[in-house]
Amino acid sequence: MTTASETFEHLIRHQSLAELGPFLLQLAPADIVPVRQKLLRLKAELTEAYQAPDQTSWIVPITLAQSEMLYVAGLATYSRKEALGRGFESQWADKWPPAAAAGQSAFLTVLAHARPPWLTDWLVGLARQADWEQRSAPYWLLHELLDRGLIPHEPWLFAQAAAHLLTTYNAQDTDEAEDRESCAHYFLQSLRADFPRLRRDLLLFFDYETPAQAAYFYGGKNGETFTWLTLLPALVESGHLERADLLTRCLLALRRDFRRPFLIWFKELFLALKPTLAERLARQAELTELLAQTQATVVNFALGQLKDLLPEPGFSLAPLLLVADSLLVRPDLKTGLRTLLAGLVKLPPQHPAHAPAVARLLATALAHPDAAVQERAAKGLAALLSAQKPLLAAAEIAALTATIGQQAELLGAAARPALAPWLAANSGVSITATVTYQANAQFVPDISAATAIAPVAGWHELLFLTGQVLKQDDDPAATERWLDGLLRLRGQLPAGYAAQLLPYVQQVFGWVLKDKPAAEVPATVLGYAYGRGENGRAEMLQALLAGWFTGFQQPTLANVSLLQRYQLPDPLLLLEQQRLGWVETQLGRASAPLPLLSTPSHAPHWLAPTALVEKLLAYQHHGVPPCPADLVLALARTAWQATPDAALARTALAALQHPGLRALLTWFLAPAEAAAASRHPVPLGQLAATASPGLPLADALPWLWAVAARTRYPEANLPELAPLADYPGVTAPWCPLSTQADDGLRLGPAAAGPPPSPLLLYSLHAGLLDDRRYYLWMLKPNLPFLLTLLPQCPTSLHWHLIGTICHTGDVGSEGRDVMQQALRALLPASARFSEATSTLLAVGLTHYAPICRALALEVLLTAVAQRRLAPAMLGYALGRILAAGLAPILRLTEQLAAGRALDALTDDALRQTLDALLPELPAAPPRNLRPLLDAYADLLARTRRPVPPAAQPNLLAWQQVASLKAGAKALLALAD
Amino acid sequence: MSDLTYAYAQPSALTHAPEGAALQLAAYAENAPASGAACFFQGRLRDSWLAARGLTTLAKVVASRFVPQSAALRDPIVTAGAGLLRFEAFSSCNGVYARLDLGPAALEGEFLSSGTTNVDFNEPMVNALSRVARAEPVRLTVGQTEVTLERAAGQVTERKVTLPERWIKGLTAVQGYLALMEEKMTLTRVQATQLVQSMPAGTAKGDFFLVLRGPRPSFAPVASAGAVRVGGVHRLRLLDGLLPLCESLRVFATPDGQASAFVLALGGGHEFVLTLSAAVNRGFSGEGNQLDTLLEDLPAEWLAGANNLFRGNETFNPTLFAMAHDLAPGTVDRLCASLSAMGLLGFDLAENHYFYRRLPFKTDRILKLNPRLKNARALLDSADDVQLVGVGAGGRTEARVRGTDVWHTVLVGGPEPARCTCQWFTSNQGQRGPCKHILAAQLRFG
Repeated sequence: MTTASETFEHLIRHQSLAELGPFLLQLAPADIVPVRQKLLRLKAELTEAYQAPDQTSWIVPITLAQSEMLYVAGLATYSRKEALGRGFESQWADKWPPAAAAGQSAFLTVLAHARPPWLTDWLVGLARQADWEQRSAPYWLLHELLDRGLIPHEPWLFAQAAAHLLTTYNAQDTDEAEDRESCAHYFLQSLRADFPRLRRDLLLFFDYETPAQAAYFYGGKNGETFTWLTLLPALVESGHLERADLLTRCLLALRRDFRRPFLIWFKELFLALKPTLAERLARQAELTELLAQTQATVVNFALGQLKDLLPEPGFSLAPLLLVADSLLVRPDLKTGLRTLLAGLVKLPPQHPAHAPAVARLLATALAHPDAAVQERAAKGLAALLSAQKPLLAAAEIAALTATIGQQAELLGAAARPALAPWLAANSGVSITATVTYQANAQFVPDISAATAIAPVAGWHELLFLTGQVLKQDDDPAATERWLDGLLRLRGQLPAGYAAQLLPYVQQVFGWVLKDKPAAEVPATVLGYAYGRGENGRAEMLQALLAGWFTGFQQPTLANVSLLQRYQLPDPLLLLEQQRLGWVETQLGRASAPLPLLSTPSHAPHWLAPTALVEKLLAYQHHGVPPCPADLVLALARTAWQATPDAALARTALAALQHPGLRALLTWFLAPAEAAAASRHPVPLGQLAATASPGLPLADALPWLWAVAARTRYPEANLPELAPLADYPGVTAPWCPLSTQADDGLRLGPAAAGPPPSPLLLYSLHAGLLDDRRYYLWMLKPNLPFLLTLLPQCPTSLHWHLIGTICHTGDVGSEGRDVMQQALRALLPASARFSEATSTLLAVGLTHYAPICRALALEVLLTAVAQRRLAPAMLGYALGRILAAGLAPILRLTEQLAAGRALDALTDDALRQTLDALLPELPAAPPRNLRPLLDAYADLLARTRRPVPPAAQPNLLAWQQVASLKAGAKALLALAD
Repeated sequence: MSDLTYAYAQPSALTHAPEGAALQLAAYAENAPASGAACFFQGRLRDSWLAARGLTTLAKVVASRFVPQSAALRDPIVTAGAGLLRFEAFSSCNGVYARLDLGPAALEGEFLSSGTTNVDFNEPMVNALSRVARAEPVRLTVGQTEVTLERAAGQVTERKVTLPERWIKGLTAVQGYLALMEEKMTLTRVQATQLVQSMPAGTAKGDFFLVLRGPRPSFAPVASAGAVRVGGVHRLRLLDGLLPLCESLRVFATPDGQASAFVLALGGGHEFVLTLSAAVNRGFSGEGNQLDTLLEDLPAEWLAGANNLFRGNETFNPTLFAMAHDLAPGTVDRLCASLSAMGLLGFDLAENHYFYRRLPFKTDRILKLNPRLKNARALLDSADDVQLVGVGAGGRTEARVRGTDVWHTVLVGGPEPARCTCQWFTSNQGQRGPCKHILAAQLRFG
């Protein structure tokens, strides 16, 4: 006798749904479990994919009819475990059997017979899945199941399905609809067939998060979009829904912790119903209750609805005033608070009894971070305090004035003028004494024991320093110490030191060493292919580590290729590769290596003159000629201004036998000139006298002179160098900025061809091709190091940065990161800012990234304190940026507000900056100029300075603009 | 990860009645006696509006997370006793620790028992807190009062909470930082408001440094003398509703800048403490700052002694404890650190002393929380995995410790900090506690 499970298998394999249906209806309870087990086995077998004989595709043997049969069998036999598990969902092509399909009969008949207890949970589970519109039961089907008593009315489920009616609506019905109204009419007609039941489910939209806020259909001849926001008000108009009920439900829903998009939907529905003032007044309690919502959107909405209710006789103000206390300390509320304050200030004249409470709230609002909220509160307070008919008692006025005084420091430029009379009454407001900011003429690096850099003490320090150096955050000072340590301790390394280096080798070359036996590690690291992303100096240091690990058996640094596609190297890196190549050569020799000439002796990256001369004498002693790349970097780092040390160095120079080098250093380390403007002429004529073609450095010496001269006189014209080369940066400082002010920061074309020597440090960037965005990728990992190479005269690198950043600033985070690095490098003490440095700072102060602006402000404040800032140059650069529309003015005014009233010197430096900035702006005022003028007026008042003549023409022009009239007029009154 | 089921006898609720509102905070403790969590406090909030602001801010901390990870409701714990209620909580990411202290001046009522427990912070209750108005009378109950019968009847609000072990670990680790902190600056209410205004916009990626420029506090992106390092400064926005209300704000930081704390004196016995880890992606649980102190096992009798001696919130006086148990001062210092690492001590920055509290989790759960220490002990299981190379000047000991396919050089002992060649140490340079190799070397040769 055939068992039920065998019959079932036969039906699935060879019959159809028509035969399976009766079988399932007659299934004995005892056979359910065996049939279920057979079903699961068959499902696994038929849904397992196998490869086609041609091995080009995969085949799943199950047919669509078999899928449907297994599905219906599941309805009849599954327990809760299988039903709620993965993969049990409708197998019909359109997911649910359409009303006209034969499958629907089997589906409903089997369900009615089996009455599975998990049916509701299963339907809810399907609806909760992300693509629920495909899987969840349609609204009509749920009602069919409800009518048959197969499921109860599960509110959440019916709300979801009702909301989805819009998406599943067959919009073809509306194809002939000419206009929006008739199109909506077609749809509403389809709803109204059974409206009492549908009404119950539509009102559930207010109890649950449903797709109602996202559901829509396109309908009508013109393909318009219809949402519940347009259709629900239509149902109200037609009398199918009650308007008052819907309004109240919206407000109650807004009190709940729905997610933001749902809250916005309830808000929009409320507004779409266009409630009258009387309707809102009747719901004042609900609206006030919304003020406790954590979502600013809801609070702003509620305040907007309450605003014009405040003066109404039926409005109860007390609950609002109680809640207002909490609202005013919420910095996330801005628009709403402005609305609230605008409503409150109108109250006292009509209801004087409210004046003290309103005054207290306005005073609290002065501490709000939003300038517009502050301004509104300040104006309200001013109106209260200066009312012709006093609204406050004398004691209240005194207390309020005291509070204003306490809050004075919190007030922004916009709020301050409104309260000026009461601020002046508080003696706490101070005006800066007259101090004039002036930049220092000369900078002297600190060459003393306090800044001396201690060399690496021994093997253990060198070992652990290796870890620090190889980390990705580039620390140039640590790397210089490490290189110095490598050279000095070469002969003192312990036996088997490579084994101790191995953890670091693994960290650097990790993935190529994976599963490699120990014996293959040296060969693997020596054969490592560089250029996989960590370009530039980091790879050079990794190559040095590989060489060190293998005992410098073969050169490794040459394996690092800097010239890669899309990543143009900085020319200074090529010089660095030469310097490190020299280190590698030294370490590969048996004899004790000599130190690098350019290793800094004092923090952060200075080289003491004595240290340079001592090392040169050591080279002379060992008969080793200096590496030109190392020597030129050493000259650039030498603190020639450190007079006592330079004097000592000069005394030692007599022992230096190389005549050309001795002459160069004698001139370079000569005492500083008494007058700032004067300078020693470059005695280039001596070069011919001292040049000895047979001696080392003969070829390099002219370029060393050029670099030494520019190091010593960064901003001077040096016509004596003209015979050397006619190239930017040689006889005059390189300044590629376009002379046309409206060009903004456009840089001129590159010099024709590369510089005559790679040793011309300050000219290397002038010859770079204009395809600037590719430089960024190499600048980002190497900039902290590159900036240490030109401490005396970073002008050329700064122009290069400006050009690169301005071309790439808006394409990703790299431009922002490079800007941050450049700004950080401006923080330590250095010489007075050049035009390039001032322009770089101006770019930072107006940068799109807040972190760059914050850093730039730090640079500005530090530079003022150290008297390095050149306000006129900074103002000029800022003016060009703002005039060309490269940045909005508000970015700058935000920084000015942060730097305001810190000290007299900063106030005056900022004032001088704005003195130079305003004339650069166009006569047609740029957007948001008023806050800048407010800040300028504040600075002039604090520094007690007049408006300079250069700024007056623009002020006269701006006076014609209504929004600027008062501000410009007040400033012109301060003119000389 | 270990699942912990909170079984509250009833949900916390703020209910309104004609005579005033009543805030009932339901309690649950994993290590509660069989009779169930006790009722700790019953009384009235003297300034209900201010207390509600503090509790709302605490709820904001609990609900916040600053790294992408799944959020889970982790209820605050409250320690009752010595006239104080101290609510403590973490952000979901474990990088922000907050504590609201309600002192005797803030409370009027009766402390029925002392101890520490979890309290239910459900959303309806938190939402209701934000609606508490000024001068609205609010009664407060912490724990269960008449719920024994209800529990017997099965009315238990069970919430399955996936409580990561790191949450508990963070609660212990943060005390170590608090105890090391020094006061850096004190700000007035106006300055505190300026602090809100000067917070950098958006999500801060790098460190910011709180500095006073003239009288004005500012956040600078670079360090300077006297500046306080604040990692992930945008996390301070949790306080933006509370800072304008404070009477004064005291700023504390560890000497190495690895954590900072902001203590808001709100007046009337209300105090709020917010502690930030060194960076957004550094939860307190992963810091390992207490690992050194846990190297030595604490004698069980000391633990029992402390447990018998103190009540919740009671000041822990190391000197008296040393005298009572005849212990050397250095030993008591280690004891304090060990007890706080086990969750038995909290640290009150404003008063600069420890207070006793026993976390409402089983002690054995807390002791199993340090994988680095466990791994270090595992290294010691093999005689060859930790080898002595030599002892240098000043007791500096060089060791070789087995790593993955490599031997690490480890230096321990002497005045300088320990060092290792492993990836963890290279990346963190000792700022997040010692690695397992250093711990193993210290355990063997220290």
